[in-house]
Amino acid sequence: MVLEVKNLQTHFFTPKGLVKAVDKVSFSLEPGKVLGLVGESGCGKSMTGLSLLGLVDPPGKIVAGEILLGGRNLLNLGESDLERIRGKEIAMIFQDPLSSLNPILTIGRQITETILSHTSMTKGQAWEQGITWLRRLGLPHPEKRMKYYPFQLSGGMRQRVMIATALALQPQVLIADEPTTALDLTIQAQIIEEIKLLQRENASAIIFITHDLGVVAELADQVAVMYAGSLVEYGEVEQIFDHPRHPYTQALLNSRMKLGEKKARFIPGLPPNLLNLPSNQCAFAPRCPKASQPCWKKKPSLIPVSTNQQAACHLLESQGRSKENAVVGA
Amino acid sequence: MSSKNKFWQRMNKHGMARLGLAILLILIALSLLAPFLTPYEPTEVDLYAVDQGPSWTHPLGTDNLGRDVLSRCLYGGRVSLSVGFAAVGVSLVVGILYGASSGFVGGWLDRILMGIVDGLLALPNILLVVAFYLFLEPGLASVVLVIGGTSWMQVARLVRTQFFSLKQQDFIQAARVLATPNLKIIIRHLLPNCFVSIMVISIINIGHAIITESTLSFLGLGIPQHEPSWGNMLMGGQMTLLNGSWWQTVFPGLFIVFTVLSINFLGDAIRDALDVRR
Amino acid sequence: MVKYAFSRLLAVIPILFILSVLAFSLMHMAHGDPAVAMYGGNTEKMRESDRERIRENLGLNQPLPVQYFKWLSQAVQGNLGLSYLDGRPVTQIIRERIPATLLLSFTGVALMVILSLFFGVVSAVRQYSLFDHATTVISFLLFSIPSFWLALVLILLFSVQLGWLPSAGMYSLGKQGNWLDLLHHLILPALVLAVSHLGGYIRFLRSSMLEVLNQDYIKVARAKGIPKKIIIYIHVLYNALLPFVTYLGLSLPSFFAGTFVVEVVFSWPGMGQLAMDAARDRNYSLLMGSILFSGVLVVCYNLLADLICFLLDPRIRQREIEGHWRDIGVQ
Repeated sequence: MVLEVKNLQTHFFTPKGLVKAVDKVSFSLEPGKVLGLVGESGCGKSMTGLSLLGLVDPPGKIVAGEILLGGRNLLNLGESDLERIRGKEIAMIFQDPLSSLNPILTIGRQITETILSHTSMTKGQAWEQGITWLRRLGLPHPEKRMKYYPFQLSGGMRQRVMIATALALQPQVLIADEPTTALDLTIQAQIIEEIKLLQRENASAIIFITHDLGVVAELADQVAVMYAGSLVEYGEVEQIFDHPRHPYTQALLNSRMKLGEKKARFIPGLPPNLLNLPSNQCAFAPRCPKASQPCWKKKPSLIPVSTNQQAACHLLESQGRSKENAVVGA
Repeated sequence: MSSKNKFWQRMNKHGMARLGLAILLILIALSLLAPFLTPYEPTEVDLYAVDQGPSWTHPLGTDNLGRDVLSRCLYGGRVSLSVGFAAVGVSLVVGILYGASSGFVGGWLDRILMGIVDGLLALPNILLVVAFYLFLEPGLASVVLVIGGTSWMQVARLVRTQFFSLKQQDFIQAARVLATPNLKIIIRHLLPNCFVSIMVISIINIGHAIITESTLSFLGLGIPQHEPSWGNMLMGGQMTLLNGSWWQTVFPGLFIVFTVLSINFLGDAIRDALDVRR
Repeated sequence: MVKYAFSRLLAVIPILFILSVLAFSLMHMAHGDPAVAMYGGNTEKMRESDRERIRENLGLNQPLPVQYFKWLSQAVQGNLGLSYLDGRPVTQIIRERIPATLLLSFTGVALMVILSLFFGVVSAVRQYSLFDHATTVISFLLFSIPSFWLALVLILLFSVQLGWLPSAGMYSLGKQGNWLDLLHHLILPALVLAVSHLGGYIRFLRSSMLEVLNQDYIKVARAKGIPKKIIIYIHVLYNALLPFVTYLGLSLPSFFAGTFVVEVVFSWPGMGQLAMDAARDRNYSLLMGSILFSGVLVVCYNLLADLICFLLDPRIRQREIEGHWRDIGVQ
């Protein structure tokens, strides 16, 4: 196991109240495997990724939990130690490639500075590395492109530069925060292919943060579904897609349109405001079609509901593992 | 909560704004109540009490003609403050007219008018002021005209830019389609939208105007020495400076600093309050 | 880059033209007859014929546009006329005074930039700290202090009370050309100049830095494990400097105005003092020349700022080279 996250809690202490952006999230990652972290906007998935890197800015703070990378708890490390780990052992790709690149530095400069900060290579060697990576990612004329500025490249190329920067040092863990959301569909497919390729070559573990279930189905080995800051379902991807147990997961899968359908099915209601969210009830209860008494009294925690699958729902507690309740709505 | 309430809530939270407003009001009150606050006339010459440092009879000392510095500061406040407000008023009138015409009409007229503004802005303000002043008879009205007449450019630019961008917007097109007369469009629709930015700039400009007036008077080109203003007091102060008569320089200057400081606090707070709302 | 400089130069010509018109019209509408001014004292004794003669000599009887073009054609050749008071060529008088003004303004700007960089950067990096709050208060204060008053107070302190620094002039008597003496005289005026404009620049740089600090690419740089110092200076400051330099260029006219006032207070023999004296003496040709020249100087400084921006910002370079606008999403 390359990464183990236990009960991570990241809270924001705002003048208006407490926001539990990440509320007791636990998962683990095997080398070479992909974990899809899904949920709606604002559910805390990006903040989970940032917490792993220790990039939580005030008024936010990681208040509890453990992040074990190769046995070491990252939360016990100081800033300079964290700087050594960032980019080298854990790397991150962000959503918008245009705003993620410094507009006034060449991309070559931005790729090589990661390499130079973490290794003792010379500038020339780092430059060569950069060119190699760009070539691997399919950019034509990589030697010339290294001297380009971000605004001279297209969106897809920019994202590939980001990927090159992230993978250049062959990190153990790659966190990809919605890397394809800002791109055209055709480019999206290419990028995903490239990520798959590189993942096989490098054996990096990937945490793929997205709200797109289709991408998860294609790419992920495991899935973690987040809602209002907590995990509601977690397990192997086939299990969860075929037999989703948590009402929210079921609703998400339901809301995907099938060919020939005319009406879109969406989940009624709005995602909750995380500000001062009551902690003594299930966060999904207001929108849950199956909500019953216990749901309003106590917040459910993750329990195993089948092999390689956990869900956090009071309704499942009573059923246990024996009954196979495959409720996938119409 | 209505947006107007939120505005006041933010303003009140702003400690600086309250402080600024308080200081400004105090200073204005002091100037208005000057006759009641000091037994001396600002122009009362007392040759037996020339160049005296602060004492019980003259809390802020006397100047080179034995006039009481405190009373001159208080009366001088009247002059400097009124010049500040009046000059900004002038600059607003000129600036809005100029900028509105340029922005509304557009085309070559706009380019020429803005070119003139750019040219004027390229010149150091003091030179413009001094040059302008040569046109006119020395005195309060001229000072106001001159300062106002050299600080309208920023306002004009602002108004013109706003008009330009607002002109494209739908509600203006709608008004045009309904054959609303142009003047009405300007007054009812365009100008109110500029109100916010104009207000912020004007407040800061009051401070600038006060400083410019003091600079002008200091150079001997503003209010003549008989009638005190903070600036011409400083001119007198400079002459006795080398003898160590510090009170004639320090006190009027402090009045200027506190006045302008409070105005800046206020202006900044207003800008913040309005900015966040957007 | 030469092409860029050239195109900026061309853009500047209309402004210069307008400047010249302004300078000219200002002077010719002012009070006081230059003929009278030229005559010197005892103007009651001046006869009408004398006045006519002087006016004729000075070409004051011809229609204004003609006068303007005559003046302009002379001006571009470097002839700005003769000073009414002492008959010397205006250009020569101005030329004598320029080095002093340039020295003072350059030193002032340099000092100011250094100080604002320090305070601006540190207060942005340590936002909400004590240093930050103190800097904010100080900048407000500086913003509200008239430069000449600051000069007077500092003179009071350092010249009168402590006797450390001289209060006037560029050199002490008899020490013309002595570097150390020059420096001694330069300290106070340059300091006053720098400090009195500091307020606005600190606040601007601070907010510019904060804006950059909030950008995504800074988060990305941190995620890459780049050391904090490198991030601050290379990523943040570099980006924040661009609007700062532009702002510097735009506010240069006010900086020059400050230079002129400081020159008068410190009797610094530069163009500012020259212009003020000319105004007081109604010496129109000299005043006109000074105004024109100041405008030209400001425009030059502006060009310099533009060039610096060009060198710093690759996007501007690219735009100019390829000759068409690209849509920049960020910044």
